[in-house]
Order: sequence, then structure tokens, then C-alpha cells
Amino acid sequence: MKKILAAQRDFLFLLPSLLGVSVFVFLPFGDVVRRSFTSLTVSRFTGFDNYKMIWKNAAFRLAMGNTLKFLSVSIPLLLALSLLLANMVHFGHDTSCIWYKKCCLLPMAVPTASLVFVWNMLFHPFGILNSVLHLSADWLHSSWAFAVLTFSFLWKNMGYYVILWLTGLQGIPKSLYEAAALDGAGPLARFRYVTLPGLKPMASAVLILALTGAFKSYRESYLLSGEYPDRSIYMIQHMFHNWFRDMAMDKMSAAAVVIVCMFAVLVIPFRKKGGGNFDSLNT
Amino acid sequence: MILSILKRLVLFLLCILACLPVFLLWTGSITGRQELAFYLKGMFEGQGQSFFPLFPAFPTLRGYLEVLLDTPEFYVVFWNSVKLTFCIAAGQLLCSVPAAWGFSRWHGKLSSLLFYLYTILMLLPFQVTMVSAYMVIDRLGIMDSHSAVILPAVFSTFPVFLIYQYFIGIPEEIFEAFSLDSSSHLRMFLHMGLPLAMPGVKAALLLGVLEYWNLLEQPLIFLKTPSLWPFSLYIPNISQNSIQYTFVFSFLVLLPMILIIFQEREELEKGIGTMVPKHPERS
Repeated sequence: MKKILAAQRDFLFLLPSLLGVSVFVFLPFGDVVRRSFTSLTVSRFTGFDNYKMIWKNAAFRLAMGNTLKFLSVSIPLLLALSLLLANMVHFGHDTSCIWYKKCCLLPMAVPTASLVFVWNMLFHPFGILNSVLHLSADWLHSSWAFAVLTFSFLWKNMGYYVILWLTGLQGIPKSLYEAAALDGAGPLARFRYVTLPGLKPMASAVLILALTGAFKSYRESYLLSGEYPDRSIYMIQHMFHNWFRDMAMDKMSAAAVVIVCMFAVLVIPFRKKGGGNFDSLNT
Repeated sequence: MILSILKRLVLFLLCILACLPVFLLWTGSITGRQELAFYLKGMFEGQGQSFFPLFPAFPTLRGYLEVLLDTPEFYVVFWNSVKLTFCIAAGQLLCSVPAAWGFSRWHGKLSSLLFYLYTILMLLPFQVTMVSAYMVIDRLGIMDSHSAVILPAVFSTFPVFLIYQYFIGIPEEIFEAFSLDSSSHLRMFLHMGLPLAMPGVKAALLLGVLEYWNLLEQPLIFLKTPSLWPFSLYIPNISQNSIQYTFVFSFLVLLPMILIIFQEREELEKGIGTMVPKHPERS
């Protein structure tokens, strides 16, 4: 009895946030689910018609494909490169490391709107980059746009993840490296058998943070190339925006439900276990 | 030896790359209009070349005078951004710190389920929940007012996730010792949890400020009146004729965030690092 009472009191801390989230997301999302099964014109139950419709929809397929492609390219790149850099900074002791640590969070401070202006100058067909390199690529309105967007994402987020990995590296005792070196392990073997296991507990949280960050690059792409960008960077965010303008509630609802389900599956390995731990990949 | 030089070179280049946009905006902001038109000729005329000087031949502060004295709109959008950022960050703290505490203290199936839903919500791009948010805001009658942007953002689940990570990093024994001599949950939260989690809370606040200073998608959908817009919506409307103005504007909105990053860099680094669990959790 006492235990239940105690649990209830802990629940009270959650209440303000839970109420707000319920009003703004959970409850209206119930309505979205209902709409996803109803036809737009004659509001009656139509089963999976809306889902079939978006499955055949070219924009939906393109946007889903591009988003998956963007996530599967940019996130591994970000995590691997930042891990490499964090290793360089952690095991180096010269001034370049200190300077890098000082500069690396700066990109986070640059508002997207200002940044986009700079990218426009650099990547314009007759802009600085083409002039310097004597090229004539149309960076923003060709398949290069995907590379520019990935570059912009890496540029903005790299420092944050370097700092994340660095704190992880600082948590690994120096003695482990010394012991491994005594056993004749080279730098690569030490990375494989000391660093990676030492960083494993934080991997899942870092991955989740990277996923959240990746969706924010929509701002860059929207301000760089508007509502109809090059085909290669047409993401689900553009799709929702265009459907929203057309008030295509049926399509939007069905797509929202599909995407929420995909995330629900994706997050299963990372969920908090009953014991209260944010259990990691190491189980 | 070669490897070490190469490493320094890479870090040095990355430092330059990180600072480049800020530097370009600063240089541009003190360059005269004619000079800019000459340098960025390729961009304006659609042919020829563009380049950028390291320092203007004739530095001038005329752009600043123009923006600060002749452009009342600048103050409007600037203070709109300040107001939105401040209200959202403050509201988020009030909601998410207790919620994170609740999640870290309250265990059980329901708590796990709710946390799972929170994690999904955190990952979803804004556009997916846009329809549901739009319906609620419309129903509440706060469309086209600042509350339409502030209220949903206050209940964002991202800070809950971050601060929760911090709370579970605190050893359980500390709280056990406290709960022996006092049974009040609120007092434990205020006197133990909050002070111990201060670095995490601070870092979440800083990240929130950086994020919401940049706000774009929400005002784009929920605010129709231009006098309510934050600067992100206003910058893209500046035409190519007023290039110097754009430089100064972009630089001025960047400045507060750079000051924050340099002022609070160590706090931010400490906080970011501690937000992911580094040690295998007790289970």
C-alpha cells in the first residue's frame, strides 16, 4: 500500500508535462488516427483506403526513400567522423587540439537563417566555391544538393558529438590503455578492445540524439531551396508541408500514422526497462 | 611524424571551417555596398565570378547604422525572437525538470510505456505532428498569436529525455540516505535532485535557447501576421539589392548566440557530456 502511494507521488511530478503533451499531441493524434481511416469527402469509415492511396503516391515514396537515404548516410558519417576526431583530440596534446575544442561548438550558435545566406554565397552557380575551384556545378539545384545538405548537417553537428564522445573517452581509465599496450596491442587493437567497449554504454543515447538532430536539417533545406527542392532532397517534411497547403487531411493522417509506427518499432530496442534504466545496446 | 603533422593540419582546417561562416558574415557586415556588389558580381549578374576579401578595402559601419537606426522592423523581429526563446525555454524548464525527475524515480510498466511514448515524440519531425497541433491550436483560438508557438514547444519531450539521462546518472545511494531521514518527495526533489542535476539542467537550457532562437517551422505554420514573426522568417525576404543589410542583419542575430557559446562553453561541454550514461547501468 505504502509503495503504491509513493509511486503516485512520483507520478505527480510528471503530471504537468503529461497534461500538456496529452492536450497537444496524444489526444489530437487519436483524431488523426481516426481520420486516417476516413474518407475526406464523405466522412465515413473507409478502412485502409487512405493507406493504399499514399502507398501508391509517388511523392510519398520519393520522400520516404530520400529521408531513409539521408538518415543512413548522414548519421553513420557523423558518428564515425566525430568518434575519429574525438580520438585525435583526446590522445593528442598539442595546441591544435585545444583550438579545435574551442572552435567546435561554434557552428551550433549560427542561426540557420544566417547560415543559409552564407551557403548561398558559397554554393551559388556563380558563387565563391565555383569561382575558386573553376567549376560550374549548380550545387543547390542538382543531385549535388544532397551532398550539400549532408555537409551542412555534418558541419553544424560535428562539434556536439565530438564533445559527447570526448566525455565518454575521459571515462575510460588510462590504466586500461597502458595494460593493453603492455600486452602488445597496437593503436588499432586498443581502439577495438578498449575504446569501443568503453563507449558502448553511451552508444544508444548518442544514436537517439543524432536521429533527432538529423530531422532538423529540414530548416536548411527549406531556406536553401524552398518548398520544391531538387528531387534528391525532397524529404517527408517537404511532403507534409505541400499536403498541408492543399489541406489533404486524409493523406497527411495516414502518412503520420505510418511514420509514427515506424518510429515506434525503431525505438523498441532503446526503451526504458521496468527497472528504470535506459538500457543500452550492450545487453 | 608525418601522421602527427597531418593530424594538426586536419584539426587546423576544421577550426577554420567552423569559423568560416561567422567570419564571412562579419567581414561582409563592415564592407560597403559598392564593394560587395563588386566582389559578389557573379551572384548578382548570373555570370562571371564571385570571391570574397579577407578584409574590406574600405571598412565602414554604415550597414550597422542603417539596420540599427533606420530599420524599426529589425527591433520588432529581434524582440519577437527574444520573447519566443525566453518563454519557451522558461516553460520547458518548469515542465521538464519535474517530469524527468518523476521518470527517474517512478518505476514500473506504466512509467516505461510513457517514457517510450515520450522518446517517440522526441524523434518525430515537427511536420508529422503538425496536423494535430494545428487542430488543437485552432480549437483553443490561439492561432496567429505567440502562444500558438510557445505552448506546444513548452511541452516538447526533448529536454525531459536529456535531463532524465542526467538524473539516472546520479548514484541511487545518495537518495536512499536522504529518504531515510525525510519522507517528503517534494523536498527530496528540491533539496537533492535539483541541485545535483544543475549542470544537466543548465546544459538543457542552453541547448534549448540555441534551438529556439532558430525557430522556423512552427512560426511558418502558426503565425500569419508579419509583425509577430521571429527573424528566421524575416531574413529570407530581404532582397539581393540590400545585400549589406542582409550581412549586418545576419551577423547581429548571430552575435548573442556566439556570446552565449563563448561565455558558457565549459558549462555546455560539461552538461552535454553528462547527458548520456557512461557507465553500465545497475539493473
